Amino acid sequence: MNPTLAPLRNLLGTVAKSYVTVVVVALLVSASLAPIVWGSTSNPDGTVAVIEVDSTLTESSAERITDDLQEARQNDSISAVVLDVDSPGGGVSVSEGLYLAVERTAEQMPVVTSVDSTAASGGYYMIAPSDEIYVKPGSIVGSIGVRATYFDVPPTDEQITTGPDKNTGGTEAEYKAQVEMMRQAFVGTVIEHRGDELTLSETELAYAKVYTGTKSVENGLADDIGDTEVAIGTAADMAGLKDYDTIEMESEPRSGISLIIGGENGDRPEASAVHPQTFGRYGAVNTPTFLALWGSVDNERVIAATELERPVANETGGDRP
Amino acid sequence: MNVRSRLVVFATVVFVTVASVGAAGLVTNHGITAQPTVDQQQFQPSAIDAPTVDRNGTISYDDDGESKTIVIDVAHSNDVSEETLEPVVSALTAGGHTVQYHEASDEFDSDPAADLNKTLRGADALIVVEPETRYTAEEAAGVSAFADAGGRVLFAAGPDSSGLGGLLGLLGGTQPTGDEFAAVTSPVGIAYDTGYLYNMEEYANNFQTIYATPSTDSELTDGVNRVVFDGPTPVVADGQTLLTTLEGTEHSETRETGAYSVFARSGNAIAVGDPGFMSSTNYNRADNDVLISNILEFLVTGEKVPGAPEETNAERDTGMKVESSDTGMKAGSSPPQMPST
Repeated sequence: MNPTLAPLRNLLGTVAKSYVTVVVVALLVSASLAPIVWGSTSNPDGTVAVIEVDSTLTESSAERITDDLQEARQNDSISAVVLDVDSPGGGVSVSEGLYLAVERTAEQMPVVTSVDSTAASGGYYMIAPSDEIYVKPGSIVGSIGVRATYFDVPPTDEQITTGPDKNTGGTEAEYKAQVEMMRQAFVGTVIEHRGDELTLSETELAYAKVYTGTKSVENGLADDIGDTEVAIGTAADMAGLKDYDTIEMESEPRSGISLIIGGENGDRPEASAVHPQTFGRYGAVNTPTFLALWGSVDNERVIAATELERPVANETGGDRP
Repeated sequence: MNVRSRLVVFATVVFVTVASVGAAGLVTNHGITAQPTVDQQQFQPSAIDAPTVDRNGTISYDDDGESKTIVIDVAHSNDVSEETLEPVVSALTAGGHTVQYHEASDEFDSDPAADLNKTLRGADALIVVEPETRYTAEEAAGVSAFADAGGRVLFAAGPDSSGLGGLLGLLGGTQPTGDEFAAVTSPVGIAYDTGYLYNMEEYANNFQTIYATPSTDSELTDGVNRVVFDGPTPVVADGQTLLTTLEGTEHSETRETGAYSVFARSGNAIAVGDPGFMSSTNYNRADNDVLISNILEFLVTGEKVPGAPEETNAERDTGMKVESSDTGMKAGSSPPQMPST
């Protein structure tokens, strides 16, 4: 052994055994662990996700919303969802799909809705499973009904069809039956989720009236007057979050191209829809379509409607339903 | 340590680390990904029921063995399509009766009242559906005299959608039939209301497709259990109310609930609040065919005084000038210039 290293070894042995060294090492270890402990004790308990619904309900807009809801269910950091809604509804099947997505989410975590201007027809369909529905005094809520429409009559002559209903899809009586079935599912859904709060009977609901926010709190279509901030607070409280983050799961529309509904020349004002298929316009092909919509669509002609309170613009002089 | 023992240590450390992570994964495994389902009861087919109204039956009626002439008015821009009256026209024709369409004369100096009276003098019954131009007082007097003389008259009109049209036309689906009809129905004791009727409790798949049942025993409602109308307008007469809607029916304008008269009789005139119940698509729904049969029997069994309505003074004054504009025909062939809806 090299005799010159002996003192150095002794010195290192002394340092290693000293309390100062132990404390210094302990401080270093603590410094690295402390942020983790700090984070676990002082970070928010969870996140409230705000999903904006601010358009007619088309396959396109619904896809974004259902994606957001799925993300909320799968992301462990999200503990509650707030739906920030301003929609007059849209397609019947679209509204039904959104209802299922919201219901699926509500089974997993609190879902609270804040209605801005309008949650009518399909716009109400989708929020029916919410744990709480907040409205403003001047919000418009309701229009629980469905209608079947078509834009033009497929030509029945100058072609050969394989069956009497190939062009129309069925008789007027059959369309009425189909619309009635959709109405029953719609009204049944509202009764299922709001039955305990509602002071309206099933028949009164079926009139498809719209109500102001104030009135809707009275009749049970909504729970309370409040805005989105209140809704977020309620959602967090229901999720047991005392300290929480809020994220807005807003995303750009998938298509920036605004397609014209109706109007052969494209000179008509846009009907706020970017997915004309929902309204029965598949390019050069027009089909009858079923709408859970409060409001009019250009060139709409009604085959059958379940609702009485049906404001419909008609520029082509359609038949009386 | 030699190289071999170091390799052993290395392999052991790798194995223990990987095995530990794997074991941790198994321990913390949260299970399988849930399979989404749709269990909502209100969406299941068993929870939804929208049966269609029975559709069967044929129009059959008795007559007194005489061939009668039934005039259908098309001179007042009547909103009557071939489809609306096809079952009626076919049944009358098959029964050996003559159906005649009364058209407006296109001659400049024609007298509509004289034309109508001339037609009515050769007729046993008159059918007026949805007039959109008003009867003159003279025309209405002729119809009234025709009914007073035993001529049978059927008025049929629902809420008229042709008037203002547009937004208002579809808002309630309808506009009142209005003055056009009152001019001719009022003199014979029949009044049409405005608006349409609906029922939110009991209906045939649509709140406007509603039932009416006999309100009294009469030959016109014999065998009728219930009839289906599409948004009929109320109609009342100074005689009998024959069919009323179910209790709980509401009026589109007043929103009052009740059992409304939709089929009524005043002397030799009868009036119904929805012409559509006779159409090809509706004539055999529920007991519509029975009601139509009774109505046809009523129309072809009248005993009209020959020559009625009598010529008015004005007709006599200009009688020689008036040319007949009506077109007699056996029904079943294409009616001349039938307006379409």
